Amino acid sequence: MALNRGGMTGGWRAGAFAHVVLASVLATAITIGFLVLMRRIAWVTDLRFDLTAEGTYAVAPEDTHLLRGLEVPVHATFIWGFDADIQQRVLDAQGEPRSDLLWQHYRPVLEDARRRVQRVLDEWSHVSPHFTYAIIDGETEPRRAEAAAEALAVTPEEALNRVILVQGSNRREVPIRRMMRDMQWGSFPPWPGAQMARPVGPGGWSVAAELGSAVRTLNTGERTRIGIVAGLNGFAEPGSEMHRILVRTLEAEGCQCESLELGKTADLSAFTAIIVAAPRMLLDRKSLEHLRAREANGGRFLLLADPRFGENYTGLLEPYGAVLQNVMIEDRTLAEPTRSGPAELQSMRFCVGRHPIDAPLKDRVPLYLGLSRSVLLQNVHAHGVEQTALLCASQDAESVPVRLDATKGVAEPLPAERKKTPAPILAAALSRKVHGGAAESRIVLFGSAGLLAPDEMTLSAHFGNRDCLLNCMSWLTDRPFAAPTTARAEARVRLVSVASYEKPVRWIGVICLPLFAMATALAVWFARRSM
Amino acid sequence: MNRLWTLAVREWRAHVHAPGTWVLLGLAWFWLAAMYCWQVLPASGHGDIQYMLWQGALHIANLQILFIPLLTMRTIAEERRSGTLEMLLTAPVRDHEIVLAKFLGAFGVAALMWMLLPFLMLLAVMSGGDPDWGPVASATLALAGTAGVLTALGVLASALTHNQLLAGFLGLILSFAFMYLPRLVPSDWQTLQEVLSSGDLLQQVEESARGIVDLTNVAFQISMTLLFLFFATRSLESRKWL
Repeated sequence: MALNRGGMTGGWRAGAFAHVVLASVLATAITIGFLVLMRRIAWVTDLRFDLTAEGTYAVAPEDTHLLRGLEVPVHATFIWGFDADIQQRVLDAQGEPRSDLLWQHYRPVLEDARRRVQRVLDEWSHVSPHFTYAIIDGETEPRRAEAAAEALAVTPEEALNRVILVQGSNRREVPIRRMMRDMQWGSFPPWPGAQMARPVGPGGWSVAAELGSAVRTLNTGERTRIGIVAGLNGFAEPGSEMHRILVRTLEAEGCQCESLELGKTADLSAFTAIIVAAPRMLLDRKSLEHLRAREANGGRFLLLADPRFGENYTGLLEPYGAVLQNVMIEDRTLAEPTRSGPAELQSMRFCVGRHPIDAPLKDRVPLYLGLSRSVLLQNVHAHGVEQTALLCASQDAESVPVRLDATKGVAEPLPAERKKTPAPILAAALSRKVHGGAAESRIVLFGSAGLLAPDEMTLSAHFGNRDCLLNCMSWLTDRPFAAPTTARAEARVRLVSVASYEKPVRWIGVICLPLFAMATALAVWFARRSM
Repeated sequence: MNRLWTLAVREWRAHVHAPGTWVLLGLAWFWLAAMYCWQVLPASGHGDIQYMLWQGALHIANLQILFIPLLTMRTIAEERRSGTLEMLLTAPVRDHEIVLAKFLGAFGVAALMWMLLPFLMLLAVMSGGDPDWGPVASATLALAGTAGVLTALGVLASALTHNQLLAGFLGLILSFAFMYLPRLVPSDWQTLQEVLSSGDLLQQVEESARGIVDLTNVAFQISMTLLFLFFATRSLESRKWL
């Protein structure tokens, strides 16, 4: 037998080598297997612990339960950047957004939002293998943002600054503005001497709550059917911009919008709520009977009117003691200088604040109503009827009567007959018990169709129209309110005075500790030399 | 266990009685404190302690890539070069005990570096701050875990060669690759990126610095440490048949 170095045979050496290689491969496989197993276990039991005092990263048990129960994968996409709403605030004299202001003042706010959204989505992605997310910076990754928006079948602008949750063919959208409480977006007017207002970050955030609620409704497949009355030459006829924005806004909230023609759609009870957006044509008798029958059985309606056109909601409103007056309201006290005149209503002070629909918006954000009629609430002395004024003009408001051509449904204002009408009601929430109290019919009545104006609905940080509409629909359909009144607890930011902290860090960290180490090195070196 | 403890203490003493260790520690402390003082503090807004903790932990984790291979390069390679390894191998101790003792000795010295983070938070308390100790604990735990992986990797590199410098260089390359590879993979290679990102040590430190202790991360760090120590033991054993 031939022996080589070390007195071992070649065969023994080869065997030992094979043994080492095999053991190493086996150890690697066992380690990988163990890690994969740990990851699997993490999907079914909590292996993440939040050590923060406020429980900042703790996923609520109900969210964990919800996420672990996902059977169909949910993917969240959040594209963040300077949306049209923000750009409007920093326009220069030529009407172009100023990028220096955008990056200096608005980028930090958006980054903060991104960080908070990412924190929640990241924690969720650790809870369930069926929850994935992508966060895209629309400013630095425009191509990726475009591709993501295209996959979601929306334009990049429409996808900006909202978390879009997709599960199969269903989707929900949660705009970041809804996650912010008391955010002051500021503005930088271009004209000289104008007062600038820097954006001030929100007083509170509700990221997990808003996203949690969106995923919950998405996963339950809950779709609220909303009927939008068509065929009356109304403001929101299919194909119009107002209809497109209205449908998009409601569908992002999990509603299923369908156009309905009153004479043709047999079963109105299939719809949770029905929107009648200021028809330019009068409702015929059959259609009106149809609506009244639905109302008498617990129907829910959002009715909008316009002073320029006649309507015949009277039959529907009668049981509630509400009357739409044939007047056009003018309000010089609350008039906006940017609008065409005192009849084009826009103000932050319309909301009365006695109802969950308008209370969260009171003195917070302007509402655009445009031309509006007033609503008269009469005392009907009927049991179970409730009338709540939602929006009111100022004490100095005036009403201009309009003469309606009943046959054509067109109105003509009579400015000569204007008269002072203190605090006219512009919108009201009405409800009444039917079937002996077993059901409740509800109507939200607006004297204006301007609530649905596309520009004002889209610029949701400038105007509260979108939140107001969503709150109306939430009240009508018994869903959680989009803009809640309750403030949520916020994690405490722990601070230390940088000036006083810098001193000990500089002296102890930068000077004393390294000097101590160097002195020890010298001492050790001398000690070793002397040994 | 007693044997292991004796060997580990001997190793730790050997490190502490080496001037080079203190020079390295002094430089590391100086660098970290200077970065903290002149980069992290001014960028912390109005003095957000959470931000300071997060950035401090990341700076320490990054410096460990350089510090630990330099610390561990001599552990086995030096014994091999000076011929004392044979003596050690013939002593009544097992190979894995030798490797574990080398690891624990170096890890004990590395601890002097990452313990700077809780020390900085103590200084914040002295300055009137009120840090959240949960994230401090989780960040320290993550830094210990990262130090464990890198020390084991350094010991492995040292066991593979008899040249200290080569061991240091190899340890540096391996540590760098282990820490940064998940971040260097192009975003187009999604599957590879997903696999590697589950072992992204820097991300694990970032998460822990926010106050999260993820047992899958802890399991990853411990199993990687054990795997590298196992490789180092096999490498030591291989001397018997080479």
